[in-house]
Amino acid sequence: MPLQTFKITARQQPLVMERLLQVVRYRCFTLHSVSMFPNNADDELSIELSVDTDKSVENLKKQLLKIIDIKQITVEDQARQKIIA
Amino acid sequence: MTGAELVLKILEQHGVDSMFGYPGGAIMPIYDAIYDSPIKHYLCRHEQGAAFSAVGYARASKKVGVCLATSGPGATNLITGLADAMSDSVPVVAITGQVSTKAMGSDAFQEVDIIGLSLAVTKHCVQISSVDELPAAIEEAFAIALSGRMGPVLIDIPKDIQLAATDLDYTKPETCDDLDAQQVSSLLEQAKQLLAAAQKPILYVGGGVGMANAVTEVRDFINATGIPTVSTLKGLGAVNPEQSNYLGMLGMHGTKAANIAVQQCDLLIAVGARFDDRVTGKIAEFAKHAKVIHFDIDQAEINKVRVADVAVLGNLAANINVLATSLAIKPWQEHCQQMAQDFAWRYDHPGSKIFAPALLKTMSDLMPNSSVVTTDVGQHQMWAAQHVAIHQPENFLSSGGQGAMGFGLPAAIGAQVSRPDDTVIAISGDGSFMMNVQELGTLKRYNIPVKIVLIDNSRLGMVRQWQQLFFQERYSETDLSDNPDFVMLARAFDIKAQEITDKQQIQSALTEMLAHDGPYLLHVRIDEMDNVWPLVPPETANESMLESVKS
Repeated sequence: MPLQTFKITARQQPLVMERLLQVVRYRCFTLHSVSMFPNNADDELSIELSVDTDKSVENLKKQLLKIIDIKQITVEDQARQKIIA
Repeated sequence: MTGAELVLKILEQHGVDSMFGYPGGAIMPIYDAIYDSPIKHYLCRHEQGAAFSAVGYARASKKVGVCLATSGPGATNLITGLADAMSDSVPVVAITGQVSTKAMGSDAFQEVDIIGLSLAVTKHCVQISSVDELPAAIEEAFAIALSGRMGPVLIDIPKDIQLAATDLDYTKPETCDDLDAQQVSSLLEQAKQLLAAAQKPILYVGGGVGMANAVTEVRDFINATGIPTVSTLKGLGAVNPEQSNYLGMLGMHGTKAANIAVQQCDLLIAVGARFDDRVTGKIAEFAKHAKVIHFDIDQAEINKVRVADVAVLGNLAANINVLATSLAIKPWQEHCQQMAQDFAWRYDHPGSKIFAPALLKTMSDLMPNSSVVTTDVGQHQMWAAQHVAIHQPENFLSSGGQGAMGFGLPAAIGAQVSRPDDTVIAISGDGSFMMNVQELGTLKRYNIPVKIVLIDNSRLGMVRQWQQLFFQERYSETDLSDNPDFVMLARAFDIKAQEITDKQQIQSALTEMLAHDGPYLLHVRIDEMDNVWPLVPPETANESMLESVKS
């Protein structure tokens, strides 16, 4: 299955990672990897999350954007990146 | 001032006049503050009843419903009500007490991770860690509950924070207009072109129309275009039921005319609807010759189930008007109207037993158009959706997305509290009614004049119907013939009650019930083998309706 990576900027709130992972699981995407780094200066979190999926990442992105504490999401198609490289 | 008193003050400034709940250890400071508050608290007899009452209050009044519970089991009992509010997009703010911050994480008495539990059934949830956070958190909770696609928010407040002294005062800030300016004109132009080219368009109306306050605009659009129209369960009331092009509800128990028209259409305009599986049947077969225009407030609904040819996000009331123009679709209108006539409901029924559709049609004719009708879940719910004429979406309250049994009575209590001058009727079945029967105590305590029509077939009727049709008549655990005496049960709560068994009794019994000025239970016995028709079997195209199977 293709690997898709979401680069996420979120408010630094205790619940945000739980919410994020719950939505990924509930919407039937398989988590491949996740990392999180605080940016204390901006009171933000930088999150990188990869999923294995054949499903629409655009639909998952829209569901993740409904989480109140998530500010921005960009999606990278890693398979496509490799082809470009 | 304490944190608890501050909570009540903030609620009051948000216009909360009524709330529903149940006290317990970890929320006692808030209940102590309620003692001196002008907000009327309704003591329900189970926290699930409180949550459903808050939902009923919110849906009937278009205001935020508020419910309260203590920590642990009190909080977990709210979960089903929150799930219902989440699925049906109902603005509810739930406040739970939590054990004191020093005890949190120690598996203290009545401690449960309600934040973890509520993640999946709330639009947002927050645990307060300092009394200073209360004003902003509650402010945000109301804003989130009401914004965009509405939904429930839970605020968990540890007991020591409720007790903490604070100098904070609170004045509700001026509301800001947070509507995004939508760049929709080119999309609307594409939609207009699709509509102009369509020979057989259908308008598919969902619950979002009422929630977007777009009923007038959608009705204007229907009048201007003459477009044949169908409704979802939650959309009932958005379209005038007497409208000549209205074909009724679509989906699993929809009308034959509505389902066939949708399958035949070449353009489907979905307004505030989400292509639910109970509506579409087998999705690959649903309106498969149609192009789709989808109007919604929630971008996550766009292309979630059915890919739209044109999707318009944002203010439905403003956007739908742009498409309002007369259409040259007379042959299609005539075809749809002919189907509506050919497949109209029939109320003739042999024998003396009560036929629930005829009972509900009579009730619909007798009740004022402003009445609020709530339902539980099962056969009676589908009969109500089919045979009761609903004139506004806030007048029909049913658990749509979750199909939560036990919804009807507490939702009716919430609706009656919010609209004391309107008739409120809870239509229930004997299975559902027993799920929140304790709320008869709430009716009695406050003398809330809800009328209950309890349609009793001594079975879990809808499950029994499916067992008959799809499980080789293996009636596993659906026999409820040991039900209590419901009339005696109502009278034990000092509620007037009557039982009817013969169709000759319908008119006078309903008249008496509607004329009674207090709560009333009408116990209606029906045949245990009566079924709901038509029925689209699961995973089947909507034109493949079963219409009658001999019991």
